[in-house]
Amino acid sequence: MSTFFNLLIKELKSIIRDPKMLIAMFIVPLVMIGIMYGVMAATMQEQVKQVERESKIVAIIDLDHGQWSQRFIDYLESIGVSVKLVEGISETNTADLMEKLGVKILYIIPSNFSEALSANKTGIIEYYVLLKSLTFGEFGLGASAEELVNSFAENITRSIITREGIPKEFIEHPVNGSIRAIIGNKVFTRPEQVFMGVFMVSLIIPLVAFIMLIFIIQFAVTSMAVEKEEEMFETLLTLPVNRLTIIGVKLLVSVIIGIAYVAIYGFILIWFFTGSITIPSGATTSVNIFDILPPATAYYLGIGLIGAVIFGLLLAMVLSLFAEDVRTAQLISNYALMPLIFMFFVPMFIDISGLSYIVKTILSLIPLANIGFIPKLSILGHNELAMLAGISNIVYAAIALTLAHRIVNTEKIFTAKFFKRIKKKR
Amino acid sequence: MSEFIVETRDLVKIYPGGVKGVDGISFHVRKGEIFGLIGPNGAGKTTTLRILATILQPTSGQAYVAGYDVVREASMVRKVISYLPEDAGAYKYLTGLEFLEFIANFYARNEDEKIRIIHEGIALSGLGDRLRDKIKTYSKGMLRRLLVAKTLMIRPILAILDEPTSGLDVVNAVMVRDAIRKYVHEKGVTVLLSSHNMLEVEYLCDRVAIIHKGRIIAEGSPRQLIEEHNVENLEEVFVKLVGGGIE
Repeated sequence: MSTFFNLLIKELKSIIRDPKMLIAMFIVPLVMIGIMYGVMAATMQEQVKQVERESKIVAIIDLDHGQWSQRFIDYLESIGVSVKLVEGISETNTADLMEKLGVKILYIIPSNFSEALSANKTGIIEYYVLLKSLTFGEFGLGASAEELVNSFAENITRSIITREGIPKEFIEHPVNGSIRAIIGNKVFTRPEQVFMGVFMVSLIIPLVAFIMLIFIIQFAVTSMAVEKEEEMFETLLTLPVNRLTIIGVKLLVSVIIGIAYVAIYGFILIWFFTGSITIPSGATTSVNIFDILPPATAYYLGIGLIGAVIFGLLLAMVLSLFAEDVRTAQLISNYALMPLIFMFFVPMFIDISGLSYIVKTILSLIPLANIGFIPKLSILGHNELAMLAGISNIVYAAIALTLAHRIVNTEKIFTAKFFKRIKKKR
Repeated sequence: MSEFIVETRDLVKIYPGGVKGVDGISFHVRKGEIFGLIGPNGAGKTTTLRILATILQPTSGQAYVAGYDVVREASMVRKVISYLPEDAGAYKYLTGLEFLEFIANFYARNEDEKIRIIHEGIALSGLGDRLRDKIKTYSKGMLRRLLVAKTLMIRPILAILDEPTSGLDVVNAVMVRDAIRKYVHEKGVTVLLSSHNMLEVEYLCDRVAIIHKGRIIAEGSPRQLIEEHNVENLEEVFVKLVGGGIE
């Protein structure tokens, strides 16, 4: 068996069997996220049902008693809404009245309602919504109550346009806009789709990669610290195996677990969103973002991401060599991650279009942060800077690798300490 | 290959901060012998062993293992040594058997050799069926026996044992000493060990070097040193030499 697979199998066995690693870093977060998403999904679904249920029963105080108020009542009943007509009001408090009637929506049709409509004037229906539980679902009641009124208004409009013989499309949209967005030298007819695409490339993809990187860094650092905590590190350094192979195996295992982690999280997230939230069809995009961006952008972004991940990992691994135990390792990885997080979010808040070429060049060279700049630089036509940003991360990764190589092949791998410790014995 | 398995010349190690770990040590270990470095805590025993095990690098001087320079040919040195640190542990979520197999995989050239190595490890450890249990369930003595087994089972050209019986009770210490002595004489392995247990050294070692404040102050067979200093045992030699100088 090759030394690489020997170390790989040992790593996987240790991780799978170590309840601390398995529970703290894998099962607990997954269960917590699963429960959180599940509870959120179930709650939201229940509250949507609550709104549907409670908006099916309404009370109406008809002060008009005209043909149009009757038509409103008939309309509601025709669409399955149960109407409780309130006659001879004895309650002076609206809330008490609604409570007594067992409704959460109360419409009041004023006395001049039919008269106004008959004179082609806007009729007003007042409505009250009783908020008791103050849940998110209950806040939807107002929208449901309004929807019933709007639906009735549309019904009237349709009757009128049918009666008058006017085309429905004309009444609904007498004037329409036709929007075009220009990005670089390309024109797009659906700018919201372009925005969503750019948002995906410049934020979501790097964000997913970054979340994975954070997990992988913490895992890799912990895994190196475990060697010291289990007092195997000194032995490991004297085995006939290239020390970079030891680090490489730890990185590989961390990446494998990181990918599995993100895949499971992603599955739960997708399940949550598709299970509980209906996305309006207009919000979906069929635009291929790489049709918008110059063709090479995908390569620059890919290279940049790979470089960033390797750089981050090696940086973490080098730092982990300074850790004496798992606790110090976690501390070190947190210190290392804080500036990375800051650097990662910088591009989201910087408008680079107005900056000078030199500043754009400098920004494209900032490790990790430049990932977020790559799509923007491409869109602005600075493909050479997008390429520079992608390649620079590979260069940083190579520098980190050289640094790691120098450390692991000298006694620094053994003597480096984050906190100075008095040697009891020589 | 030189007649010496270990050869050091004026070995100096100065730690960052100026603390001297060893201060001009020169000694050699012949093939097949058990050589002991003895001395008080902080004398430089572990530093010397770590330099020979390629973990630390000397500030000056030379050290060779089986003819390989420990600095320039560190990767070759690692192929011929097997090192047992004083504070060694093992992967507690592996079974003893899996741990022996993990170590054997680094050295075995084929499956037959791997099986042979593991069988020797099983015999050396004396742990029997407990080898199928996870290491986290082992007592300190059992763990040390497993570690001595993993160090010797590969039949290294040089076994480096740092305080092999440190912290063990009498029974376990005797078992470990017997295993080392028996295996080394049967298989012709060369051993360099450190200890501050003079009885252990007298029992195990063919030759010893007494190290104090980073320097070797006496070298020879235990019998020779005892006779030279006209005392009863090695402990008395040690006390006579370092006297009140122990810090």
